Amino acid sequence: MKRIMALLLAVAIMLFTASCGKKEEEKAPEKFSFTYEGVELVPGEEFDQKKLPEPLSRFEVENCALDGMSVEYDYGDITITTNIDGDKEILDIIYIVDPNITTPEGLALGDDAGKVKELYGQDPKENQELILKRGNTCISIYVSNGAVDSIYYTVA
Amino acid sequence: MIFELAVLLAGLAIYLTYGIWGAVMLLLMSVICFVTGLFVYRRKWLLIAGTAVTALPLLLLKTAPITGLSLAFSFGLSYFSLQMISYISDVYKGKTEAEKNFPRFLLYVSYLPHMFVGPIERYGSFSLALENRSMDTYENITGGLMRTAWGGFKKIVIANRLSVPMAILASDTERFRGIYALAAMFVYSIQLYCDFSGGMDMALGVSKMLGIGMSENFDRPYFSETVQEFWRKWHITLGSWLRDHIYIPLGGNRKGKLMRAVNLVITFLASGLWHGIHYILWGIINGLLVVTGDLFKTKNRTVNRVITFILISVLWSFFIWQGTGTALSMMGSVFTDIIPSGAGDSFKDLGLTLTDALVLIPSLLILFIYDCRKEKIYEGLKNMGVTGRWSIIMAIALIILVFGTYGLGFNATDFIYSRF
Amino acid sequence: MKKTVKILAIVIVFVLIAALLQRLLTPKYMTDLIEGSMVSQYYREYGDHDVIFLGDCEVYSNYSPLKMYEDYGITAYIRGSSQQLIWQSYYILKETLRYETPKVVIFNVNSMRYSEPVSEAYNRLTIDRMRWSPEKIGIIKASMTEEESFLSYVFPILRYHSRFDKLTGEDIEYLYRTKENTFEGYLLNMETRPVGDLPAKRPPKNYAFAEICYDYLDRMEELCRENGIKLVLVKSPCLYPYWYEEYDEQISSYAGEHGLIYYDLTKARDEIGLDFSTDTYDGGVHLNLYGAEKLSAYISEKLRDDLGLTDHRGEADIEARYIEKLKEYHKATEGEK
Repeated sequence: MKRIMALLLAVAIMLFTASCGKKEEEKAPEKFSFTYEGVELVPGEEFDQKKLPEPLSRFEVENCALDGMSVEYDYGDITITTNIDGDKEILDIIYIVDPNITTPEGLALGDDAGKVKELYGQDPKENQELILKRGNTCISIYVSNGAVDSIYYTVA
Repeated sequence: MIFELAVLLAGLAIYLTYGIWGAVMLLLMSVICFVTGLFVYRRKWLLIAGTAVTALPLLLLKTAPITGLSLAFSFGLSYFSLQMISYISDVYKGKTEAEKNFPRFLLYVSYLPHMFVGPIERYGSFSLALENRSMDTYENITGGLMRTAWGGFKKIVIANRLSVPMAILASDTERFRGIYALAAMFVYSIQLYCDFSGGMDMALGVSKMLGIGMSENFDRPYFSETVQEFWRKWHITLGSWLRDHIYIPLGGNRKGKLMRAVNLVITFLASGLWHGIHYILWGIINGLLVVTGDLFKTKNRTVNRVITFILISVLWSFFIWQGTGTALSMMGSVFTDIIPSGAGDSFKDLGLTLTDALVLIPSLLILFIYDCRKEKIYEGLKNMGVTGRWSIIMAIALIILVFGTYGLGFNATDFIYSRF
Repeated sequence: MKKTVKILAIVIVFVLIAALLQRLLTPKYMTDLIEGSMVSQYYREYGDHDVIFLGDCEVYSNYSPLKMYEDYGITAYIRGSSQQLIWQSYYILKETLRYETPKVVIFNVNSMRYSEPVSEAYNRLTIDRMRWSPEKIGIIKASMTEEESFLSYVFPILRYHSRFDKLTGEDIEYLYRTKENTFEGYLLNMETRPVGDLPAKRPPKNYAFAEICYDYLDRMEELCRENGIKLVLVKSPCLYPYWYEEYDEQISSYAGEHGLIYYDLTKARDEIGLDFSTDTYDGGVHLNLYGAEKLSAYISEKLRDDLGLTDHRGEADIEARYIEKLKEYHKATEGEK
């Protein structure tokens, strides 16, 4: 009899802790995304050029041998590279080019290296790319001479 | 003796390729278990101590998701741990004599064919199988190869192929709810069966090639008429292990109807735990269904079979969407949200092609026919001549080669049940 | 005993059927994705060439060996394929030396910027149709991405078995035969797409070429030196991807250290006479026929003047080799000129 009570109690505890454990897993954000002109851009997801304003220029490079091609759109303050295969256009890289543009977290070109640590929790090393992953996406931050020199988002 | 040593060394060598620490732990546990066995006869304290020590790594492994402690390795742990515990218990009770030959004992625990998906062999039957090793090399190889090929067909052609749409179905709980969730449960039923029993056939086939018979683990489980019957036909060796080492020690059905029900539920809870800490609820529900089984039984055998199949399939939800909350919500969505929004579009994204249908439908038909007429087919095959049998083996091999789903992006040894 | 013989016979039959299936299921690269057959075009008729080109599409799209022969009598062959990485060029060079020893090897240094395998697909296009040799083993090991397995190169059916529902007439027609897809390794393209916008220059953070690339360059240099071959480094004159000064400097200094000739053709576009409104088929990334022939003329003069290569026109046995080839070439190129 005692053994059974003990077992049932153990079960209850385990169930409780198991369900608690589960909830925490659901909270972490899954991806890096960048909003431009009201459109959410996520590396690795489909890209619809029509949702954005006309780019300043557009450059296409066909893949060597294989089907599909790479397209680069220059919007002046950002540049977007995509991969087209068949009828799907997938976003590959978002480069921030203009210092007036900030990331959703608040970082911009020219910002102090310390701000990177403040906003992203990691210390960038001088002249070394800092890559942070979230799910299938990542952000790359490059610091040179103590200031943010380049920021881009791409697929992890 | 030479043969046993050869098999032992080969098995250990392959086991080593999965990581040195795994082999170290296996050897350590084997030594502890072996020594315990030598002294445990009628010594209860040693039985408890030995069992506790042997069960510890397994418990650590299963509770890792909530404790955060992870074991450096775990390949085969779930299977050989249970074998070790059963050995200690059997020697204690006098059912088996303690093995004094360490290499032979080591062969029992490290026997490679059972490392991936079982079966969980008792020492008594294993040593008997070893002693009565079949010397008919032709029959060993032919029969063994045929069984392995059949298992490969189930696993690589059917299960692997189904795993592709299955992964998509399980990935997006927003889109693939309601009727998709229901479909996922049925597809998973078949995938799991083919994967697990296919792996079993391969293990038994390899063992047969060595002349060593192992216990069967499946007996057409989806033809069962009650959930209770199902659990006597699915993962048979786990079921009998649980019966002998948990259900019966708790009292079994010897203390009245209520205790029987309680004991059954606890036993199934343990089964859930063995699969992983997140499956405890699954275990309990199964236990309750076993206890209340008679309520669902009708006079029509086919209706019973269909109901049982539906119940079991729905319960696989806990394995499809790994998270108690998610599983329950997906099960619920079948009633609350049967046709989810965007249902038509979602179908296109399942990655299903005409080829899949053309391969799966005949394959599933063959599987169904085989399971229906297993004994007759088996007899027929055994009586065929060399040409007939080997042509069939080769034909199956070719079918696996061309129609199997494997290769780039696929890890062929990922048996679903070797996660446990 | 009788049983064993029967079993053996059945197994052998199975192996033969599997081999046939393998041949059927492996892509032929004859009419579709013909870049995949380029490495094997060489075997159709290898012979003595004074010049072997090595590199990626910047080589097989931009030079026309037949033009080089027709106007300058230089015998050349291009051993290039899509995304041919430097280690692949090295092993292909080594393999070529089993068949002949050229006087000059021209290596396009664009691949110095790629230090990692790009994709399984490109590996397959470059490697699949190579003949088995120690070099093929070497090239596979050097090229494999993490997800690839050596076994799938030895038994391509393991990789291509799922093609059974994608078979086309090509798979049957070219089951046992091949056809000429290139002109001595040159992939003909006569379309024109003038250059338009070019992307903004986005220089890499670190210009230094990777150690692995230098390593293979060293190996190529050594291989050429040991065999008395003159190694010539070139950078194709295309507009994109950008060839930065810092890249140019590294190659110049390497060439200087090892006594090699280096032609940075991005600085010679005017000299070559290239006009990117007519001479490119993809907006400046590769040259079309017109650009390729101009470049071929330019490089031929360099080879004649700087390296003293012989004009083989008039030599009976060599002329004989080229008569049919030139006929086919003219048929193809005059069609739409």
